[in-house]
Amino acid sequence: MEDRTDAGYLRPSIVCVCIYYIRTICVSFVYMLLVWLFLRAHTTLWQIAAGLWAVVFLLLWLIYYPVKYFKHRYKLQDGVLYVTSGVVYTHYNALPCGLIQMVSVSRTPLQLLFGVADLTVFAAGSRVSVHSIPHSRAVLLASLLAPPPEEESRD
Amino acid sequence: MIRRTHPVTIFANIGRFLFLLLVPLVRSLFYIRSGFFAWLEGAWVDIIVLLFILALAVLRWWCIYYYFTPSAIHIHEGFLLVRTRSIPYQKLSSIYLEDPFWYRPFGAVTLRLDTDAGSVKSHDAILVLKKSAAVELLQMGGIRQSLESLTHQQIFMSRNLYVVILSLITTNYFAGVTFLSVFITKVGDILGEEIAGRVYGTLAHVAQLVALGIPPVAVFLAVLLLLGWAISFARNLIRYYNFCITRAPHRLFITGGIFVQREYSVLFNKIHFLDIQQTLFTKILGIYSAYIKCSGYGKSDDIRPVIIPAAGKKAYRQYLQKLVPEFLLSERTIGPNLFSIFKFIIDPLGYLLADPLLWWALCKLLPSWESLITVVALLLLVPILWFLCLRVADFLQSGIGVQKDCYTLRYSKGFTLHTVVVHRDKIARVRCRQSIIQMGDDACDVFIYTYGEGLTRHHLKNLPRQEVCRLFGLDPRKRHRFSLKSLVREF
Repeated sequence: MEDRTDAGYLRPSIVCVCIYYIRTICVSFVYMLLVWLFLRAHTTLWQIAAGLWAVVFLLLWLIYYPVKYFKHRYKLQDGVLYVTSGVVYTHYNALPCGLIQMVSVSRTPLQLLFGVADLTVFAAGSRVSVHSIPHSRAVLLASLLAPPPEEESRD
Repeated sequence: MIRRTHPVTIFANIGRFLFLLLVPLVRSLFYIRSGFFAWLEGAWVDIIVLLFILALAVLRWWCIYYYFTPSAIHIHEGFLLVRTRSIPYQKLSSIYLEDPFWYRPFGAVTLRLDTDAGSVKSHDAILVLKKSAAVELLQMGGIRQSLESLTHQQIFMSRNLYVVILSLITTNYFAGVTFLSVFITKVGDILGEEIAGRVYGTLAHVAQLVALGIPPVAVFLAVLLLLGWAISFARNLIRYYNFCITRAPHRLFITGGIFVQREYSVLFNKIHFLDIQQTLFTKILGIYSAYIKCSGYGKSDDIRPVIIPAAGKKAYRQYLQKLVPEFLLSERTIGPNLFSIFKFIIDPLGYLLADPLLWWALCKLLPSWESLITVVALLLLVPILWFLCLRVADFLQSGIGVQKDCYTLRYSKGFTLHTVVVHRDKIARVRCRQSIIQMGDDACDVFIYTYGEGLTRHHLKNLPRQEVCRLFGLDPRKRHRFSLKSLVREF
């Protein structure tokens, strides 16, 4: 399920927010396990650790990941791939297709579960990624972005 | 149709999972006091770990496969993090086919693919394939039919004497010392610490024997460096022996090596620049070595991206004309003025001044080490004076020349003199930097950035600013940031 903005940009799938949430829960679980193992309950240090976890967790869930999702957009227009991303600082990338050297589609186990993938496009000296788009679209974009063959380089 | 890599990859994959051997190791530590039979009762855990390592290695091999379409090769890998990379054939800047002797019984070769993108330090794709599969893949991409059937062949076969000279020039003392120390340590791990101790003890004993008025520690270090140099020299010789280049209509094929036979395939339009290098020693002897900068070539195994290992002045120009006629070497048209020599020699003069000062300070701080410090300080004078002579040679030849669309840049970096030939369209950026002192004679330092897998910077010292601006189409009246776009617009 993709969201289209007014300027023709596409947003990634909403499931990417779920993936971020699940990752945060897993990391939080490990963090709290370590706190439980190494700190005595209800001491000052334990309370600081728990409080820090709560603040970071809420910040990530309520602000960081939703903003990250809404600001991450992409479109392919007139032979140029436009990608916008960032939370605090917004990054605008415009990569002409002619400069693309290599394309990669990757999926973590969670992304495999939800049917999404990351598309990474490599140019000389730079790299642009579009995160958590439907896998079929990622494969389609990869085939569109890989340039057609030229006759001159055949030996 | 999907194809898998050679099963010999399983052995390499086993190495990746060897860290799991920590489990039996930790178990052994727990049972070390309980006796052998107590340990043996839990041996089934160790067997399961070994089988698990093998299973993971096989699974990893199974999950790597590739297939090709008329336009690109697609490589799929990973079982947790699954990744598919698509590399168009026309974007491949270099292809490296490696045929080491330890793979020959299995009929396997290593194919490394590179584009102008990706990491500077590692290849974009590495596949271990059957030799026939590698050739099929290359044929599919139109990269080569077979070496024998190429028309318009220009073959350059380097005499092995020149390969020896190249090995002498490029030998790295510290790489050799590192290799030697790792080798001795590993031998010690396998055969016992006593062996490693004996080797080091023998070196120390030899140092004591030959030390005549020189501190044994200094002689030990010298012996170690000499051994390191010899090993590094031997490794270089093995890498470049039987060096041969074949020129095809669109690419160069570069082969060489004894135990590991290597073949590189490099597209002409992916060569970023040509770099002719000389040390002070080879400059005195009149020997030149030529290298190319191309993504992928010279990336692995400390291989230098050489096209001419060593040749005399007339010979190397003829070879360049045959191999890479696209790169036009021109004479210097812009150079530093006579009074700029100080800019070139200020660094070595600084070191020359610092050496006795440092000697005096260290002797005051560590009087018991005075003899060693004195020897080291005297020895350091040799490279400093060498550096001074090199900088003088740099001053005499430094500058820029231009012929058609090719710029020839002459400068020095470290202990090497460089003559770089680069096409206009491979220049990403030109920057002029003028210090307060340089304002007097309106000179500047010029930084030219050439693009590739990351930018390469070429630093030319103290050139006349007006002439540089005229050459690169910059406006000398105001601060100007040159870009390829502005150059294209102008020309």
